[in-house]
This record gives sequence, C-alpha cells and structure tokens, in this order.
Amino acid sequence: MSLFGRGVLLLALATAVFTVVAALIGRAPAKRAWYQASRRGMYALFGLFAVAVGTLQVALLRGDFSLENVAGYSSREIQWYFKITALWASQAGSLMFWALILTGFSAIAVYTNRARNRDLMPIVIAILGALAGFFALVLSFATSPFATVDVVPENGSGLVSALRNPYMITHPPMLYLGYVMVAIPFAFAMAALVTRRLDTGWLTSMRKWNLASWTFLGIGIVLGAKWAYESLTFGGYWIWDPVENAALLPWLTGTAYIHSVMVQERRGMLKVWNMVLILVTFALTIFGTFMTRSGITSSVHAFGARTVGPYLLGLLVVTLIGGMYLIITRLSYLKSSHSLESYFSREAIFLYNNLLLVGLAFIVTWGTLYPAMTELFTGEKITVGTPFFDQVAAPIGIVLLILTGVGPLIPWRKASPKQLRQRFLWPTIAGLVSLPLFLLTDARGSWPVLVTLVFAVFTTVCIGMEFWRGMAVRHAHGGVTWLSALGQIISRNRRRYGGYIVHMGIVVVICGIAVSKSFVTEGQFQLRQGESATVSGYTFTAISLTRRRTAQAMRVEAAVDVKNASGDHVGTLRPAMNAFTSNPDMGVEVAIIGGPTRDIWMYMPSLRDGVAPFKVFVNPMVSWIWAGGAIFLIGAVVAGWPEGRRRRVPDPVVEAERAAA
Amino acid sequence: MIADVVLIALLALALVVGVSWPLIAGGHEVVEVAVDPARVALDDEITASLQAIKELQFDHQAGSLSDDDFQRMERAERANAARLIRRRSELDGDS
Repeated sequence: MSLFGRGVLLLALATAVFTVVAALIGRAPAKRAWYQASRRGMYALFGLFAVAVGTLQVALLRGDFSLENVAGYSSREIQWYFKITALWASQAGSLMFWALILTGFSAIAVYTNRARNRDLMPIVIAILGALAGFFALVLSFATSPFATVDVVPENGSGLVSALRNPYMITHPPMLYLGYVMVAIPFAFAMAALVTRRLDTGWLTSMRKWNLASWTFLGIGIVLGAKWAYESLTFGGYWIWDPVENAALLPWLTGTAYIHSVMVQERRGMLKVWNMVLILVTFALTIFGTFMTRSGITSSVHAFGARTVGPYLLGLLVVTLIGGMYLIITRLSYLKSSHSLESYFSREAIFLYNNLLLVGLAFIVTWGTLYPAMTELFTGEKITVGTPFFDQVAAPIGIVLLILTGVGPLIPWRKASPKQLRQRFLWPTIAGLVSLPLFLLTDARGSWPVLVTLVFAVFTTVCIGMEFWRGMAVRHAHGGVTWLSALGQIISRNRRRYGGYIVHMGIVVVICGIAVSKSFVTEGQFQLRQGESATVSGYTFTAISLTRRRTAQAMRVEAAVDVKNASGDHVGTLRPAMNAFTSNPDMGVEVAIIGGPTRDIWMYMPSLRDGVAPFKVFVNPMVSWIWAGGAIFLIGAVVAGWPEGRRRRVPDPVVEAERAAA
Repeated sequence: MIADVVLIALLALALVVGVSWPLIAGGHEVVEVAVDPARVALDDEITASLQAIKELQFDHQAGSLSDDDFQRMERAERANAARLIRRRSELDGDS
C-alpha cells in the first residue's frame, strides 16, 4: 500500500509538470491540442489525488499500522468516522487532503470555463497545475503520507482526545475549503495580469468563488471557536492563538475584497487595490499553512512535524514577489475609470471599511509574528496576549459595525445632506432610544459594550429599513402581499439582500463577543458528593462523583445539579475526564448548559480521595455567536444561490432601440 | 509488491494515453463546446449591464439615488448596454 501510494503521488507530480508545460504551450491559438491536453491534465490530477487519498483512507479503515500515519493517528478502538477524519489529523494526511480539494476545485473551474475566458485559461491552468505540483512534490519528498514504520505495532496510538470531537469532523474541512478556494480567484487574477485582459469579465466569473471561499472560511472559524469552547479547558472560544489568527487573517482581507470588488464592478475604481487584496488573501492562506506547520509558533492547533516549513516559505516568497511584479508592471492597465467624488458615498464607505479590515489584519499579523521575530533577533521569549488583541480589535470592530449599517444606506457617487437626514433619522432615533434602556442593564458597567449595543441597534434598524424600502417599492407595484414582496426582493436581488442578512449575522456575532468577553464570571471550587458551592448566583451541588473503567479509558465523571438564585432547577452538568489506555493523553469532556442569555460552562480536571475540583464559567450571550454564525451562513447561501431561469421580460434597452428604429 | 508495481504501471499508461490524447489524435479531437468565447463574454457583459440598469432603477425608487444622479447614471448605463447589444448583433451578423 505504501509503494502504491508513493507511486501515485509521483505520477501526480509528473502530471502536474506536464499540465503546466502543456498549458503554457497551449496559449498559442494554433496549439489548441496542447491546451486540451492541459485541461485533461487538470482532471487527471484530481483523479490521482483522489486515488492517493482513497488509498490512505482504506489503510486507516483497515488499520494498516505499517504506515506511520495510521499507527500514529488511528487505533482499533476508535469509531469508524474518526478513522476517516484521522486523514487530516496528521500533517502529511492533511496536506494530501488539501491537494485533493485544490485539484477538485481546479477541475471544476476548468470545466465551467471551457467556453469562457479562453485567453486566461491556459495561464489559470498553469498556475493551478503548479500549485498541485508543489503539493505533490512536498508529499513525495518532504512529508510522505505513506511513510512506513520500522516495527509494525499491534495497535495504533489513536487520536488525541481533542480531535475526537464532532467539530473536528467539520471544522478542518471547512477551513481547507475556504483556504483552497482562494486559489481559484487568485489564479484568474494573475492570469488577467499576465494576459493584460483586465476588464471586469473575469471578476464576474469569480464572484461565486470569492463568496464561497469567504463563506467557508467564516464558517470554519466559527466551528473552530465552537470546538475550542467545547473541547479545551480555558472556558472561552477565542484566545488569539497564532493558528486561530492565521485563519482569521485571510477572512479579514477576503471581507475587504468582497466589498471593494463591488466598487470596481460599479464604478471602475480600486483596480490596483483589488489585485493587491486578492494577492494578499492568497498569500495569507499560505502564511496560515506555514504558521501551522513550521513550528515558529506554539499553538494547540499546530502540527508536531516541522519538515514542510521551508517549502511553504518558498511558495509564499515566490507568490508575493511574482504577484507584486505582475501588479507593478501592469499598473498602466489598472487605472481607475472614476475618482472618489465625495467622502460621503458608498464607495468611500467601502474604502473606509477596507482600510479598517486591512489595518486590523496587519495588526493581528504583527502581534502574531512579534514573539517569533523577537526570539529570532534577540533570543528573548515574549508573548503577545489576548488583552493586546482585544484592545486593538474592540474599537476597530465598533467602527466596522457602524459602517456595516451606514454603507448600504449611502448612495453611490455622493450623498446630499437631505438624503443623509432622511436615511439616518430612524436608525439614529432607535440608537438613542436604546441607550437609556441599556443603561438599565449590566451593560452600563462597560462603556465599550454599551457603545457596541447602541450601534448594533442603529445598524439593525439600518438593515431593517433597507428591507422595508425594497418591500415598499415592490408592494407599490401592486398585486403582492408584504410577505410576497419580501420574498420577491430577496429572490430578484439575492446578492444584495443575502449581503444584508450576512451583515445581520455579523451584528449578532459582534454583540455576542462584546458581552461574553466583558461580563464573564469565573469560579473555582472543590466538592465532595452532596456538597454545594455558589458562583454568580448559581448554586452547584455534586450529586455524584464516580470512577469507572471503560473499554478505552479510566473515566471519572460527575453529575452536578445547578439552581439559580431563585432556587429554580436550571439543569445538570456532567463533566468527565478520560485517561486513555492507548496513549498518555487525558480526554476532557466539559459540560455546558446553554441558553440565549448565558451559558454555564464546567470543567473537572480530576477526582482524588472523593474530592473533585471544578472550574466554572458563567458566559453571557455566547450562544449569540453561534446564532450569528448560522445567520451569516444563511445570508451567504442566499447571496450565492444560482439565479434560476426567469420568464423573459421586455428588455428596456432593446425596447428603446426598437422604438428608435 | 509486484501487484503494486503493475497497478502503478497500468495507471501511468492510462494517464499518458488519456491526458495526451488530443496530441496523439493530432489536434483533430472534436471541439467540446463550439461557442465563440468572445460572444460568451459579450453575453456576460450585457447581462451585467442590464442588471446594473435594474439596480439603478430599484435604488432610485427606494430613494438611494437622487433624480439627477439616477438620470445621468441610467443614461450612461443604457448607452453602454445598447453599444454592447449592437456589437453582439454585428458579431451574430458576421457569423
């Protein structure tokens, strides 16, 4: 199996080299056969990586412990679905999975563009083929998924407990989908630069790819936060860990790109900026992969093996230098059609939003790399902690929240004072009215939270009014109910209204983050069976503390009854800890009672002499983050849903031309 | 071991033939989609232009654009759409 797998990867490397060469020769119109061969090469690459991944999956499911990746990340006892997900637990396995997704998306892009972008496609295929070749090279010579062990063990080590979690089934693939999809718009952008075909045609082709990659990254980040919340022992969902940051960075620049590309489509502006953004977004996906696999930062998410760092660094450098060279040498083709006419226009708001997002990305990058840089140059070990990132992100987040509401309400080109008054009257009144109401709550204890909530109300009303105005226009045409009007405006302009739904999801997420970060209550206590302790008005009573041996581990577990300040039963928490027999890892099972206003989170690290220590967090509004993530996903699906075939309606331009004729 | 080598050899053979078939066939392979890419690009541009006109009208009705801005922007977009449609007609006439 090892020989076969290695052979398939070498075939993939040879195919990638052929595909790149054939695509470059196929650029000439007279060499159509070469172009067709390069397209077939792209399909073949997907097939080869599918065979390679399938081979490793079979080994994982059959328990072929002669392979390092099976012996190190699987065992006879673990469930079959964790044997499948063990593919992305190892560095080599995850890179091969990455290559499979890359070549899969590349094949889809090549197929769907078979009748489009003929000038661009050979270069697109060459770039995507080169990327696939890079992964085949790394998997063949730097970190083989089919490496064998010297002595075949009876059983494998199994997965560490943090990876035996349902969110680990979905979180890494989502992030990979997001990371890898960025390669497609990047390849098209670079091809447009190479061929100097810098009209908006390729931008239109890439809309769905941009949106899909950004959505997958966003959902991957939320799922990762949920995994951390339910699997790790710090009681939170985000600690600005280097690898968390590495996933956030391309999402931030991707968010900037999704907005600024609308300015290019509508006003022919920001062409250079958009090229830089797409280059930086793709470079950040490689940077994120480098962070996880180079060992330059320590993280709960990082892979142990560090053999691929130099390869990824090389790819990053080549990408940045090559991309910047193309942008600089094509500057004359990237001139804006218009200039900014007013600082109160939609394009100006998008520009502010871009500057803030990119500024935040820069600060997060700096904060993430600073410890490694300091150690490299001075030998001194320092850390940049959560407070630094929180202090920077909070004000930027609040301004972004305001722009989220303001942007859609301001017209393109420029806004008159009268328009501004009309548009912002009700949102401003709603925000001002909400202020005294929030002052009646605990929010008065934190001015950043107060400001966030007031502007969340402002932005929500802004978004609501956009829906209302659209419905009013549709309803005024007659023949539809208000509900039908809502359905029609969404179905007829999915991109716009899907975007508003995404904005609403972001507002909900920001509210959840602001409140949960500011008003968390932590408590630590020890209990014997029958004893009680109180944290933040909740009384915790240990009903049972047990220790038992299961098939896979020695397990200690507790049942803790929770009552609120009124004495009402809130629920029973059942935290547990497993000491596995197959590896030295301790399997944590935190317990959570969730709710719309607060979560009660509990962790029990041990049980000795009938006494169990407990760590408890009362986290307000964490569930809003997950709900916001769900709204975000719904909005993104609406925005990206394919347009259906519509009844042909008279075209205003054609009608005008006919009338003129 | 031998089975693995044979399998890889068969896979390599299939790969060489499958991928390089357009070259082996001397470039006489049937063109998969007989659509003029320029025509497809033009269709995309026309669709985008018509969509832009609809959005301008919607924005104007919803109060997001002043009358002056709407008239100027819509006039420019209509002229653009008409130019594109004329070009498509010329292209269709040529073919």
